[in-house]
Amino acid sequence: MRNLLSPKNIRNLIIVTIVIGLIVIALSGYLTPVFSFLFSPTISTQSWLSQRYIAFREFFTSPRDMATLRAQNQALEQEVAQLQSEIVALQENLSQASILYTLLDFARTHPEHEYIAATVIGREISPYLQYVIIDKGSNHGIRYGMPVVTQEGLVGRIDAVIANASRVKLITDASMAVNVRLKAADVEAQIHGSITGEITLDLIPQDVEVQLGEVLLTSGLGGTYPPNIFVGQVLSMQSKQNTLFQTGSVQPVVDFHGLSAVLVISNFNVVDITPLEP
Amino acid sequence: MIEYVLSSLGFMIALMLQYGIFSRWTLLSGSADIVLLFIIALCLNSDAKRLWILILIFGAIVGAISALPFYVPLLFYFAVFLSAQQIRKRIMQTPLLSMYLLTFISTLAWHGINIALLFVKRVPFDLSTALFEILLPSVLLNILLSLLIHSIVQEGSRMISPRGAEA
Repeated sequence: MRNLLSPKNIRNLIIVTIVIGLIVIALSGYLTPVFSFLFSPTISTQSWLSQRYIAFREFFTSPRDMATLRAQNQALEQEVAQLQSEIVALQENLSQASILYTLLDFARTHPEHEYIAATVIGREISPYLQYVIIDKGSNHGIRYGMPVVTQEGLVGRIDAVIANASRVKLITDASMAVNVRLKAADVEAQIHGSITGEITLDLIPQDVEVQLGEVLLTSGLGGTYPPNIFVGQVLSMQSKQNTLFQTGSVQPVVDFHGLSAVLVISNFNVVDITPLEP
Repeated sequence: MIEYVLSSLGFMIALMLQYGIFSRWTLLSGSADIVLLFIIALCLNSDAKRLWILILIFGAIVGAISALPFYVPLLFYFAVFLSAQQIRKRIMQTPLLSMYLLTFISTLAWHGINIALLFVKRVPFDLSTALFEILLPSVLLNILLSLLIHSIVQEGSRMISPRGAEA
């Protein structure tokens, strides 16, 4: 008992009591202002030091990271550009394939002819003339005068040929005349082009009644084009009493402004009637 | 020599653009003629001594490709060259004005020749349609594009042979 109440034990007991008391006071939050006052300079100093360290580290490490990121970004951008160009190429191929499929369908529905498919690569420099340039020439079997069609209908005929390209004179050209047949009325007529690319219908007798929307097919007269190729539809008719024939305007089936691919009929023998003309 | 090579290259680019794009890019039925604009700009900006040979070759190339008679572009481009030489002597200090003036006159002349050819070939056409739907829109497009073509050719010409460098 004497040993238990020795001065040393009492001192230790007081210290333990004070420590436990301080812990209890600290846990209960009464010492927070004291801690704040004591730790604030330390935290500020630590914060300053930490910021300087981070800045110091970034100064040496960031350029390497930026360079890596830039390289990666460039590589990804290149990959994106490559993929985009591949998409464009695939879309182009798809578009080309759909055109070729349509042309193939046309060729299948007209098996009596042999066709050479060609792409339109240019248009005549003079706005008064309606010609296009195609990418197939004499090396591919194309000859002067061959008729040119699309899946929609008649386009024109070959006007000039070199080894790997040809010039096609469109039926919309002002100097062009094509013999046609009105399908329902069963009447022969003629269409003419113009300098602006519009097509007019001519040589229809006055007594023939022509319905708007009447289908025009090639008649085969003159030997320049095969018969029964779709040309267009009658858009309007004009009839004057003091003239021999009716005239009209024609809506061509082929979109001549958006012409991108054509078929050249290679096995049609053009009959040259020039010597017989008066 | 480099000037001739670059001029030929420029002409080929203009020709391809014309046949591929500008002939299809129409206002009413008129279209721009950047081959003509290139030749005008070249004649106004080039100091090459034998440019006339190049112009004849350019005319022959266009004559071979076009459906027009072979000699028409050949002679017309040479006439443009001679006109440009005369205009350079008279209004040397204002090349842009020369470009506009020559573009306007040349376009009118080019379309006049085209219309005359239609008359000669007895192709039926309406003159007012030719004027209002082809000629006037073409003149407008050519005038609009002449500034661009002139600037490109002038810059190219300055890069090849800076003014005053030969003095």
